[in-house]
Amino acid sequence: MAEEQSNGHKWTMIVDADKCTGCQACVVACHAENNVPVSSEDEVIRGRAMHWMRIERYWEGEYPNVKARFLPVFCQQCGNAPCEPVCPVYASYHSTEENINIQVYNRCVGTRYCGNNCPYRVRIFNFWAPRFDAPLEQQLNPDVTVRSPGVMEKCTFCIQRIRRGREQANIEGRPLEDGEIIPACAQACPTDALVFGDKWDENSRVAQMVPSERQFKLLENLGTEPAVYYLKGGETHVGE
Amino acid sequence: MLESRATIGPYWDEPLPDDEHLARQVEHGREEHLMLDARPPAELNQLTLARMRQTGPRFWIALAGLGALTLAFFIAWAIQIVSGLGITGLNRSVMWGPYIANLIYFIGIGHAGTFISAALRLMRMDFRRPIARAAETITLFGLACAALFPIIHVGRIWKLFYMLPIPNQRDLWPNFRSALFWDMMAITTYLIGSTLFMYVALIPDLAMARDHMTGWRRKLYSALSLGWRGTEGEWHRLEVVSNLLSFVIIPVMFSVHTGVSWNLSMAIQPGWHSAIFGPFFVVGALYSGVAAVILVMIIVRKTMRFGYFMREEHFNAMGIFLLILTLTWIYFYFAEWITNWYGNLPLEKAVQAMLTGPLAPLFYLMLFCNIVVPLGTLWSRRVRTSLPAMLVIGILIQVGMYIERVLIVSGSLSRNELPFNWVNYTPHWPEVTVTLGTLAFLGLLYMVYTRFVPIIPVWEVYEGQAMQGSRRVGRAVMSTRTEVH
Amino acid sequence: MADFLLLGLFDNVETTADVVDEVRALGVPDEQMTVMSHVPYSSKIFARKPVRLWFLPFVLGGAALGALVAFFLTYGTSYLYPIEVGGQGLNPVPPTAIIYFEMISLFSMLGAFAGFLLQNRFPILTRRMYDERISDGYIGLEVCAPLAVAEQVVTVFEAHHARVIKREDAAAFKPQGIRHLLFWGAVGTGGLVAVLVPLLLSYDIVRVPWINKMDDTVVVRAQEGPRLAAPVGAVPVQGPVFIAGEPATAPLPASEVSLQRGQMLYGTNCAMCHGLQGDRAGAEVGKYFPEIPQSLGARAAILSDQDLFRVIRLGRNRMPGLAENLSPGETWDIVNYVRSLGE
Repeated sequence: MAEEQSNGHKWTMIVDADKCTGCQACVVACHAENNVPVSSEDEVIRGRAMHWMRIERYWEGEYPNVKARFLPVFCQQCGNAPCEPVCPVYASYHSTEENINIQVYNRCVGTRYCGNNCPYRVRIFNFWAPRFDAPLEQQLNPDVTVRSPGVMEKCTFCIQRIRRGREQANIEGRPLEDGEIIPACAQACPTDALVFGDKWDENSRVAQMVPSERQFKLLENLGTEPAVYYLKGGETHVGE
Repeated sequence: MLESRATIGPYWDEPLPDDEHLARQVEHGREEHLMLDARPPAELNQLTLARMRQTGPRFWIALAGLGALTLAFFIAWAIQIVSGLGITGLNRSVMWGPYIANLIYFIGIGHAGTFISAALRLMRMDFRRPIARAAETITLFGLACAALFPIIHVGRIWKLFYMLPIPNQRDLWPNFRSALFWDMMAITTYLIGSTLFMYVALIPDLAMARDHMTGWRRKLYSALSLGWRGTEGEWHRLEVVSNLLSFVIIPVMFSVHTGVSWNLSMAIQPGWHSAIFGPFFVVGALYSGVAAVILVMIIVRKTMRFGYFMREEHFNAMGIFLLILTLTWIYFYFAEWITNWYGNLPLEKAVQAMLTGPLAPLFYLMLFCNIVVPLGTLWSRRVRTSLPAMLVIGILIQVGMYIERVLIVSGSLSRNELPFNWVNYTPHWPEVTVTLGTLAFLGLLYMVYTRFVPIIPVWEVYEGQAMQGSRRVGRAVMSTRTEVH
Repeated sequence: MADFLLLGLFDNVETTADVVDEVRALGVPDEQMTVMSHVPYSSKIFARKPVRLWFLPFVLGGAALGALVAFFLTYGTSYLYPIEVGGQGLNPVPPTAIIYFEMISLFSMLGAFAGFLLQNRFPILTRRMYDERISDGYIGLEVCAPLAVAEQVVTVFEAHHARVIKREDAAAFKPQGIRHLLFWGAVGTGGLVAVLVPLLLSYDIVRVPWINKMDDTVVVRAQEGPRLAAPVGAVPVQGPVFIAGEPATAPLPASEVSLQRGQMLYGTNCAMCHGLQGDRAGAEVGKYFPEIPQSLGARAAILSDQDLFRVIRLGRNRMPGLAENLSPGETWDIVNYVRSLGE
């Protein structure tokens, strides 16, 4: 079903790839905020890095004209998510209030069909029981479930922060303000390359930044309708 | 000779004609064709039940070996449940591996059973008569083993009941839009349908076993044969229900493997998202299934001394069937390959480069086993009727088709839209143990089953023999077929 | 009138057909004759009317039931539990068609099988006239006739070289009747139980302690067990307590009055979780919190007055803070009482 403007908010992330330095502060912040365990080197080599947010890095050219191209990639919260209809137990569904893709940990049975169907491969599977060596277990965020082995997880746009922000605004009887809710990655980014907000709020930063000339979406041709916009001027190879 | 059924003797008591020339032809016909070689059922019943009554030491040795492998499989599975799927070779890109390939493979080899007992029955092909039940048994146990694999490959087995549409206090229901749900429905339907179909055809033979056994066996078969006496009403209803079940189970059979293939083609993964997967997998299933049936025929014939029942003509017919399936499989595989190759789209190209690049040894082995070997050999009747040759060809086809499944499942997944996520897959010890162990489990179940249930559907053989006769036309003896119902 | 059941075994269809003709000529109606064989023979061979078949209602009924099940699984579940997924809509046609196909096939097959069993009156639980040699190839003809006719039938049998002739009183073969009903009743009950037991579990009427690895994660374990106490050799600092945003407050001496007040306040505010003696005995609420110490007094002994005050006032982990319920003076009374429990 197409997302309708009347339902809730349309949470959107803008990634300014021109400002991104690839420092990975967002990656670390996401780990800290969402209780994501740190994978060992062996696991990363085996292709099981558990970064919900990762900086994809591509090398171009030959020495001495080598270029590193990088892009932060995380769950695109697709409007037409291919990961949703394939889950046999509805553990992956589309929220009609926040208009993002929700992963329900305690419903997930672990068939991993959603992971196969995600073209961005942003869905992470808990192959092992998440391990937090002491004293990291004291640092865990009480707002976020620590998953069990066999469960899929992925970037949630820090939905715990979204919910808290909305509840706070509700208690205080006022509408949400732009910039009040900020996911961990956007909060940690030193260059303000990550901008988060409600696209359906015309006064928000993201609504103003979306019509940019530099704007593109990742794998737009697949028709997944991501909620993430990337901005890059020049050398994008977009449209080539 | 047709009229001479009016003689006093039963249908198996045909005297030889006086003319020596004709007599020789009749004898030759009896040697070659099971249907023309009617013998007293008393004798054939004893032959069928012989191995059910006593088993030699080799049976127990084989049973022990298969049992050990099965035990290894269950232990590996238990370890996987306790420690998590991390011990397998799966990773963030290749989340489906040999477990899904096994699911496809085991369901696949079962298709030949249904085809032989249902479709060939409706087509009135007599060569299916002695082998129908042996083939159906592969279906039954293949499905049972295949049904284990969704359970093995899932991350949280202890929550798997979430997939069942049972009303619960949380008012949660499963997602009928998911291809895995269709799978569950289709496999359940096929399993129940196959069991019913096999059981119904088994009743007269269980009655025969009841009549010839004593002790606890007699009680068992009395209970299972439901009091069958072979009255006209019982036979007539048996025929009709077999026809009904055949009519329904053939579309179900097609839908099951199509549904399993749709697990793959519903995804937008390059290399998977192909409309041809439905028919392609069905043909592949029949292909590997018929090869498996030939293997089983060879083993059963040897170990249970059923040389009377399974003759060259049967292996020849199955060999021809296998050849037809080879050609059909090649057609579908080539259609898929050339479409992807010609289109030159980068993603499909990447998947094909994966197959011809890092996975080249497996890919070419598969082509060798599935194309070169059968096409090069099955033309010859000598090869088709040579049991050692068919054994080798059957095994090679199993290997080839299994590799094909693994290549499609894991090979395609390692290449996708974002090259940063290209990760190759290597199987680890749990996958290998579980795969081999499940094959052993299938063999184990099969072996035990053959000792409890007559694996030759003798009543169908008798029916065929009662219908077939020979008739003199000029100087030749021709076989004739009468419809007795 | 005593009826007899006669069985004759013949070794080919021609002879049997002749015998059937002659027995019919003796006045035995078709319904009292049964032909038994080891392969299916058409009724035409014996000039008998074909058996009436009644499969269609079973198959159609099964198909209808299957369609109903499919309707529930598709439209029903999306009505009861509407969830938006990936741009497909709540009741897309292609998946619906697949479910209908499978369920209609399944239930029509089950219906056909049920029809087969019921029409044949399977399983036959009473004794029937039969001979094992029928499965060895002989064709059996069972005739039910009164005494006078029976003798003539036997003569016919012998004239046609019957291999075996059996003769028994028809009364020895009881009809199925009640046994059949009991059997199907038992099967039905079994089926009902099989359907209802999962409901007992899924509606939590019967609670089975089940695996749930998520409540055994490290975050739960980290919150259990003794919290970090002061290091060995450290001296707990006593004296006034400073909590941000509140005036400093100093401990009260542990007088009789303070202890009595503390005991009353403890009974009201703390005993429901910690037990009246701090040992969790009789604590109704406390039995759901495994991290409550077994002996409050022993635990309090290693903590300073300040720590005790802060824990009561601000709470700790799942223990609520009682700053809104107790004045600082009352809190110190409870601290004194808890200390006394440890002595």
